[in-house]
Amino acid sequence: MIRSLYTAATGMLAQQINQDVVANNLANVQTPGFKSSRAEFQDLMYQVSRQAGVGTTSGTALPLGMEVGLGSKLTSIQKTFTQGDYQQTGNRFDWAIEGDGFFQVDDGNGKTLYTRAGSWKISKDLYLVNSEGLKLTPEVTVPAGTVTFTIDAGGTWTAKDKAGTTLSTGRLELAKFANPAGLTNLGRNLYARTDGSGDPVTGNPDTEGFGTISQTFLEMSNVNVVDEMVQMIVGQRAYEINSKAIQTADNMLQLVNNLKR
Amino acid sequence: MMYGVNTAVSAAVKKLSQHDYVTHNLANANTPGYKAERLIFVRRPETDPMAEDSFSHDPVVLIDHSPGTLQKTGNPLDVAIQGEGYFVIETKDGERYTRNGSFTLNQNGELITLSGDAVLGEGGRITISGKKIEISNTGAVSADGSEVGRLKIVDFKKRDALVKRGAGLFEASAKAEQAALENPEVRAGYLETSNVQAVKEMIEMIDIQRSFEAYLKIMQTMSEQDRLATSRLAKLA
Repeated sequence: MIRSLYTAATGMLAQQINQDVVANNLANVQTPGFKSSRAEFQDLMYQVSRQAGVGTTSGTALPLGMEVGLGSKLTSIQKTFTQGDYQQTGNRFDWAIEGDGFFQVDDGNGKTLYTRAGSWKISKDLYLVNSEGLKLTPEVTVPAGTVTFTIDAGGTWTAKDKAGTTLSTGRLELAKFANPAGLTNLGRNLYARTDGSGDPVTGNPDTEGFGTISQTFLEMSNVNVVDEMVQMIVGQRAYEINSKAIQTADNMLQLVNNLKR
Repeated sequence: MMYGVNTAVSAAVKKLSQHDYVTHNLANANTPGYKAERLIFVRRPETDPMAEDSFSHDPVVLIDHSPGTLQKTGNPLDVAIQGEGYFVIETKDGERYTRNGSFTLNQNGELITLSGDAVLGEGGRITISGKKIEISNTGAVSADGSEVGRLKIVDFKKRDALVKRGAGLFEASAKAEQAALENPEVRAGYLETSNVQAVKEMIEMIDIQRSFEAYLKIMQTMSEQDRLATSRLAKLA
């Protein structure tokens, strides 16, 4: 009896985490480049309450053991890297990746981090940086006097002055992972590689396997409000029904306690 | 007299353990690939039909192997089996089988479950390197367009010989009779949801609680009869 109380508690706890994840997704419905997460569960180990093959009082052996499960547990919270919608911003330093790939930024300590949020700013020393001030790699410079700045679908960028002379040019590189869902989420729209994601493969946009760049567009969050709502309802009901299991167990215990008056 | 009380007690205890199973199902209402289970008690045919004691019943755990619905996740390494069959997982205790196709990669690029056990293909472990992974509807795994393995999917003639081992894994004894599955069908980007049906579990729970209540009432009635008998017998004496 006490067992089922704890089993139901594990179920409630799992659903609570589920709601946390949904809430975080919904909070980021307007975050550019945000990718939704999903909590994933497994059933817990089974406790053997009766071994298979044990003799019974009538001399026969039990064909199967009796193993009772102890609930569920969270195994991972995975990101879903589906494409988000595009929003036109008109800002020439807003770039969206259409297709697979991540922008690479330098975290300031020589470590490369990855992001889908392509909203760039010009730093004091005239490099493109993200809103956290992390430098886009390979570096993109916007020299003083730049009037027009263009980047094409293939990632080739050009900064020109008033007279139309090219001040600087270069080509953007993107990174790809075999299993992007394995990346760790650092918050602030940044991801880092893990053993689960594998090593990054870098390449230019619009080459095989990499997406193209759209200037003046931002990739919006891929959170689907309807899906999240459904997830929330399912989670809430599952939470509720687990609490009913606790109530039932409690009622039965109460009945037992009332046996002796 | 006491014999009757024992029967009621053992019946009530059975209800308690059945409730453990219902609770476990409910806790896993959202666990991918989870299969609902039920504890039932089967009377052994050779026993005296009049003997209503707990010793003449064997507990049997029935697992409902019916498929859950497919839910879209969009993750290329989430795979759901459409129709029959089980994925084959290599664990340190031997081969295990599962319907939970939520996979990822380890540091060697091998396809593993979220608990870190290797997922077996037709030719052993599946190692993937490249930038684009695709799993076709027949279970062929390809990286950057070239096939690197094929998911091994097996079925069993006698599924009631499958025993749960946690983390969505089943262990099969020799009695299960592994059978080759022709043309298995899988869907990448989907997961199979738990097949627990909340309504069924609720009804089961109501049934358990009310029967439990009834058994306790029987115990109370019997003890009341005992009390009456002893007090009246005392008067006679």
